[in-house]
Amino acid sequence: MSTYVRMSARVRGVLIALALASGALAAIAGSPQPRLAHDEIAAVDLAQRLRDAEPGLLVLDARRDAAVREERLPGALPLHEADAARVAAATLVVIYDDGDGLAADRARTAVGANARRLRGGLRAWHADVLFPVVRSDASARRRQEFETRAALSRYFGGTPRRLEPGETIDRARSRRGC
Amino acid sequence: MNAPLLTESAPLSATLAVALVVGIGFGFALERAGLGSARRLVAQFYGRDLRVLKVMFSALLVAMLGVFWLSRAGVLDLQALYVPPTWLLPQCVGGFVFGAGLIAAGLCPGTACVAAATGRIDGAFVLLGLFGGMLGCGLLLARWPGFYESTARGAWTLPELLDLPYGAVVAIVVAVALLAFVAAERIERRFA
Repeated sequence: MSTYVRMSARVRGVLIALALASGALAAIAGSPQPRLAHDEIAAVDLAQRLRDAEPGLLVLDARRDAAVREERLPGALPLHEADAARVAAATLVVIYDDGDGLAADRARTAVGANARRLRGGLRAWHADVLFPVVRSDASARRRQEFETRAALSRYFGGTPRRLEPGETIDRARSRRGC
Repeated sequence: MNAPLLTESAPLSATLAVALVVGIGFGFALERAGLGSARRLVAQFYGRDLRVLKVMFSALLVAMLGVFWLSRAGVLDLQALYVPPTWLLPQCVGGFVFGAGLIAAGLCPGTACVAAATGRIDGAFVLLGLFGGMLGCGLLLARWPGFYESTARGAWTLPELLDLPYGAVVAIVVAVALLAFVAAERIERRFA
């Protein structure tokens, strides 16, 4: 037979204070996504700069050659093709990999101070730029935000999608219960 | 990002092993909270002991705040988490059936497993009824696919429903939970 220990008032008070503080800070933080580090750039930000043909922007692909041949960001160069003169002439160097950030981090350290890593790599490029989605029953504000991203998506040849009620993103999964 | 523990491409054996460990932990937590007892579970419907509400809301708060802040710290990839789809009408009906079963049996599926594992005969019989219900449900719902697939809303979350920032919804749920705890304590004092 188990014995149940009643929680002391002090422990309870600490837990309540922790929950309140965490909740209040979450409201202030707003998004669960980590803030962009000073050496990171968001996929949508990079896409806008590419669309605007920002002068001095150099995009480098830190993945293996076979993957680079298959697909790469518009105007991106494989890392080994970026010579020192080209890098020195650039005002902003963006390096990306598949998405885990390890290869891009190594390359960024080698390239130098003006290099930034693409947050989420190619995966984020796909999700945020090429194939953004919005629920068809989303609020007017969310739909309006989506239109901006949809225009960017179409510019780069992507396919923005409106999800019909009940539709999910590429996940035909069975129902799960508790 | 190094969480969740396993990706969708992980082998079935690894998934089952993790499920076993998590399941044992879940069962242990339920038992320690006293939820293996049908008397305690049913007591909440009479206002005498609302520990089920407190335990479940506590678990919900820990999970919600954990997911939010782990994601914010860059440890958890929210995109990799599975959000179960919503079917409004079938899930509402299922909720009522579940609630009726909970009142009648005094145990839900998780606590029935805990009760059976700790040697309670009522837990074993509830598990038998549970599997019978699952079989009957599978046979019946195949005849009503229109109902089973109706009012689909996909992966629907509170921030989308309320059109509020994720963090604001987290704060609201924390406030609601704490108010529920206060209300539960008052109800318990009144009906004890």
